[in-house]
Amino acid sequence: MKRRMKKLAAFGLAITMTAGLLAGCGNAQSDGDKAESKDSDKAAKGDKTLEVEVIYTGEPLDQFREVLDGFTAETGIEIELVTPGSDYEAVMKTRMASGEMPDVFVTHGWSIARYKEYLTALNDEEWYDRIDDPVLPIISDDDENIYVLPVTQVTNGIVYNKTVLEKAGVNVGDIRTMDDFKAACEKIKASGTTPIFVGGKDTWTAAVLYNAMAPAFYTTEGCKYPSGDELKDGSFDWDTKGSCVLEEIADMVQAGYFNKDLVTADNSATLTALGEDACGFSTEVEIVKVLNVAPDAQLGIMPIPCTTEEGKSQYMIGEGSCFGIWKDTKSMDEAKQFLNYLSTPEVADKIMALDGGLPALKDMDTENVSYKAFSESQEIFDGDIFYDNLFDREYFPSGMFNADADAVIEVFMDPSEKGVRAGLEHLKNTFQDKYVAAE
Amino acid sequence: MRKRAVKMSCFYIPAICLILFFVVRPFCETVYVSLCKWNGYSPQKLFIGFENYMEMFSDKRLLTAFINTLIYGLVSTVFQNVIGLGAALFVNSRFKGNNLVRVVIYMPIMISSLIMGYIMYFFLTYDNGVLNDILGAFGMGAVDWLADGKNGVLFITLINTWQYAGYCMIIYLSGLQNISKVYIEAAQIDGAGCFARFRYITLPMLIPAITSAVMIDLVGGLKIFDGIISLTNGGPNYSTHSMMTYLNSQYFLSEKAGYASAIGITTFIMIMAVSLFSNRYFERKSIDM
Repeated sequence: MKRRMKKLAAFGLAITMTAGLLAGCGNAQSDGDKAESKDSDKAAKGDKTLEVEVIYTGEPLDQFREVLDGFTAETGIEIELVTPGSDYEAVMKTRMASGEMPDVFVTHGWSIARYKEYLTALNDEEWYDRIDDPVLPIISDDDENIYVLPVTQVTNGIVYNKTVLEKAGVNVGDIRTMDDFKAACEKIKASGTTPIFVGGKDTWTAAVLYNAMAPAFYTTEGCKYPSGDELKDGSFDWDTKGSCVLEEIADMVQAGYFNKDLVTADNSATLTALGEDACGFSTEVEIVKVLNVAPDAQLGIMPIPCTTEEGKSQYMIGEGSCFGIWKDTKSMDEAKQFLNYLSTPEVADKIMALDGGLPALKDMDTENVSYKAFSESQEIFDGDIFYDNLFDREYFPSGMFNADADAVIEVFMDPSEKGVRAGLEHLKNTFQDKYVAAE
Repeated sequence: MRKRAVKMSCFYIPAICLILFFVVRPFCETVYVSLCKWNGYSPQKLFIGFENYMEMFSDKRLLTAFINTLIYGLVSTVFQNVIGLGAALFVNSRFKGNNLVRVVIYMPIMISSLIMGYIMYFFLTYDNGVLNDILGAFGMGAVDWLADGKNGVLFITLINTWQYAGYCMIIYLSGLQNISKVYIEAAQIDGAGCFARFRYITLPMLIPAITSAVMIDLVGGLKIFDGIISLTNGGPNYSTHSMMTYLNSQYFLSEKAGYASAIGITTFIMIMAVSLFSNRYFERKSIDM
């Protein structure tokens, strides 16, 4: 009898496990059913819950949690915060492939080129009229629809250490062309400090360097090889004009303007070097992040110098903290309520403080460190600044970023003609491949 | 009897379901994706047949990753087992502080590979790295240890060996403790020396432990991922990638999901072939001995 009971219990357990497994793994559920079960989960919790996915890590993430607590206290809506950190992009790509996006997420520069199909148009929101004029074209598609609430914008230029430049006798206002920039690097090198620091172990930093230098050759007003339209329509001739950026980087490597460990240092080493007066320039950092490491560092930002005497210097303006709503979210009202909350000036200022960007809404605080440095450079370079979107977002097909990094790393490893040719091959092949794929 | 066998077979159902849903189904999907051109997230996949597999033959970086994977898998396995066996023989004898030695050798495995990679990065980094600070104390210049891919591969192999040698030690220790002392004593009476006792008694009786340790290390070494990401990130210039980290970079950074899937399928076949071959080899050895 006892044995029989044991057998029955064992079979019962096996059946329960199998049934549980099938229920858990089955994907025959319709979207509606899924939504219902999600909603019932939320009902069980007694509150509405929004899933929010952000790119922040470390201290900024803690500060963002405080912002979310304020929202929950005000509305009673719970936030389920997802923070994949450096894997943000990979996680978002996986979620796009599975068709299960978070209710609200940060678009990190890709609201139009990558995420548009997954986002809700937000032109009718009450904060629309408060969007800063230069930001609107960056986040609008051809039909003038916008898909994100832009809280901050990023400015890509060159962050510099004032103490180092002063010691080397470099006046930042005199740097108007690439030749001026190289002359400044020569002075800094002569003063015993590394002119430019790159944390190439994190390969994205090499891509950022390429995307900072390329506009000076191809897209800035008065640049050497104006090619914006060709880059956009895929007809760009890589064989005649493609190598100039890499050649310039190769010259700088050969001249010894970069740190010795430029392919093995990581991005945190750049923050430290810039903060501790151990290098002059960097294209890969934000002032606020350096100040988190070294609060007393004297830093400034300058636009990218042009390749010609008559050309303008350039700032690339892109999406900073921009929040979009998944078009198929079952919590659309709550998500819009959340965006309204983020758009209030006091909350938007908190987000600007944590991400170190510039205000993207008209009535935000303009007293923060980043904005002050940016305004200072606008005064120094008054009348000589050309503003454009981030280079790769505007002129390259999606998926080129890694090829930019590969090309620059090739040159870092071998700054000879051979290295430049190898880098050019990466760019040319990937551009053609991605452009054909985009067609 | 047959009825009982059928009943007992029912217990396989949960495991079979798990394998079907979490192994077979994703594997079939991966095979399909490997035949497509796809960026990994857009709804459109373009079927291109075996083009991704053909591309693998002309990809020099993949060849580097393939060679590195063999080094990480095979060389680490050899070193881990030799060191693990040596350590097991050492701690199997009675001496003061025996337990402390065991803990010290086993301890590295308790740290995740990712964290271990970061710790080692701070040892090897050019600026303020521990190793360079030591060199500096002796008046020697700093070295960018990881700037050369060959060094990177060497360090990854050594770190992997060091971290998992303790695991082998535990497997061998349990094997050694299962060997009856009667055999050893009989051999001693017959005049067998230390080496002969090891060669003709200990080693043959350790074959099951050797099989387990080698298989675990081999598969782990061939699939190595996090230690590389944190120590070198596959660089410089793709010189330290394994097949798995290269696959990851192709899928998520280069947005070549189809190509990455083809690499994944090939890696799977490679690991399966190496595992089957090793398993057969040890089975034969076990019978021979």
